[in-house]
Amino acid sequence: MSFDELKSVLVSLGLDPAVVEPDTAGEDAGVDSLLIVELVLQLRKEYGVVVSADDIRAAPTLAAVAELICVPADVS
Amino acid sequence: MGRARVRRTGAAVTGVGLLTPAGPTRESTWERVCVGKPTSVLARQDGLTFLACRAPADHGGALHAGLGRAAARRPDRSSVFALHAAREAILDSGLDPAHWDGARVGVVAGIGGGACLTYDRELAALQSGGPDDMSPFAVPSALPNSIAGQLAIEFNIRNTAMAVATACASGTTAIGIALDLLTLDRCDVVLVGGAEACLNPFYIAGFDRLNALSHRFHDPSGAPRPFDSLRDGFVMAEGAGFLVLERPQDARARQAHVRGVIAGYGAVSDAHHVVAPRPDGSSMTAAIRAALADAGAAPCDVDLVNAHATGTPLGDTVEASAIAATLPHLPPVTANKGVLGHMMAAAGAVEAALTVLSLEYGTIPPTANLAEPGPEVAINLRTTGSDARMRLALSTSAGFGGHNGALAITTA
Repeated sequence: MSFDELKSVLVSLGLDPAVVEPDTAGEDAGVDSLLIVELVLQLRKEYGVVVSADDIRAAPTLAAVAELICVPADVS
Repeated sequence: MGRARVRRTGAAVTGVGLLTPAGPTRESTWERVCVGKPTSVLARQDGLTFLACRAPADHGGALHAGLGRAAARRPDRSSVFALHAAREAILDSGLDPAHWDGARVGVVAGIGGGACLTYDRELAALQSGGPDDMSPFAVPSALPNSIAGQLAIEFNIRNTAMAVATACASGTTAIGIALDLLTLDRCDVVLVGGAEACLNPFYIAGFDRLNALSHRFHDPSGAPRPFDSLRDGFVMAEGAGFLVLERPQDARARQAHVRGVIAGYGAVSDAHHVVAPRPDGSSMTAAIRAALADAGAAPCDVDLVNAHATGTPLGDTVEASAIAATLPHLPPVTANKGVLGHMMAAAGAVEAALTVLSLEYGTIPPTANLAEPGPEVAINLRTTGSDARMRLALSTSAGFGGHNGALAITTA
């Protein structure tokens, strides 16, 4: 998933677009533990992608989070 | 039992915010209530046919877009309404949550059906897809106290933050408790009101099973009909109303615009039946007397009554008899539900706010849909709006469970 696609998902979850930047750490953008679980749910429901909450939590930046997310359409 | 007397000064209303079926703001709601234009429509949903007064401004997700950062907290629809109404009330007060001493600010939110739409949605997700399909926000958004929590987060409120539940009297109860918090010097400012968003199959069908809802399907805008001889039940409505209250001396000291004063509150429990009021109206009578005593006023001081009057045959009869018994000088009586429907937990707060505006503007709104009062209704009802100089008004509420509440409200 491109960073911009991830950004639009995060903004739809209520994060401030001004702070959702590639080099920002998730925590600094407001991605807390609840939001990670919500993000995992949204990605599975809306994009059919299974990502682990632990992997998202471990990713150092939002750009790294985007790299974790392999949308099936991109792979095929 | 001895009682310590607390010196009462009342609570100044320095801010009012409304989001109702009549309009998304204080002024739009007031204008429509004053012209007496009903909002009830015929609705079909989940195999049910019913009348409803829906909150406005859902078009284009405008309400949700207006939430800003609060959207990330996944508020229930009732909390969304509360956030909008509360923001308008605080703006109206001239206070700034970014700079107020949050430790001296409280919030009391009247709730009714609770966050049932969130509960329904997440329970459906659980049942169809298993636990992994539930949002982690399911519980924090569905807890009955979530409205208070959402408002506290949004507006930097760090004193008492709680929800109160007395069914359809919740908004009135909340204001009574807020008055106590100010009188006892627990808080300097209290954000208080009620919110409701429970147009779900459980409540629609459930109220209908009690024969509580109007079935005027051939003439939706002709319902509900407070005190009218053809009244046949209430119409469920959704929305929110919030007020900012301060001690009058504090409001004066900062030269705030005071719209009115919550001067007294009375609460009486029926201890009688799960839904039916005491038929002799003695509880509502006692609540009115208690509110007047609390305000240091006498029955003859009452210039206006904004009645609960949901449009049910029994409820309106009992209330009318209580008003007639308590106020033999027959002051004008109006009822807002002909326009707004029954906003349940929000009703008491919205109606108290409209009563404040009535006193401030010297205007008595009409009782919409009242054509011919029922034969047993011997009170001074107003079918058309009128101007009047008034000093003191009552706003009454009653809720399933036997809750009766009355507020005595005066001009600034």
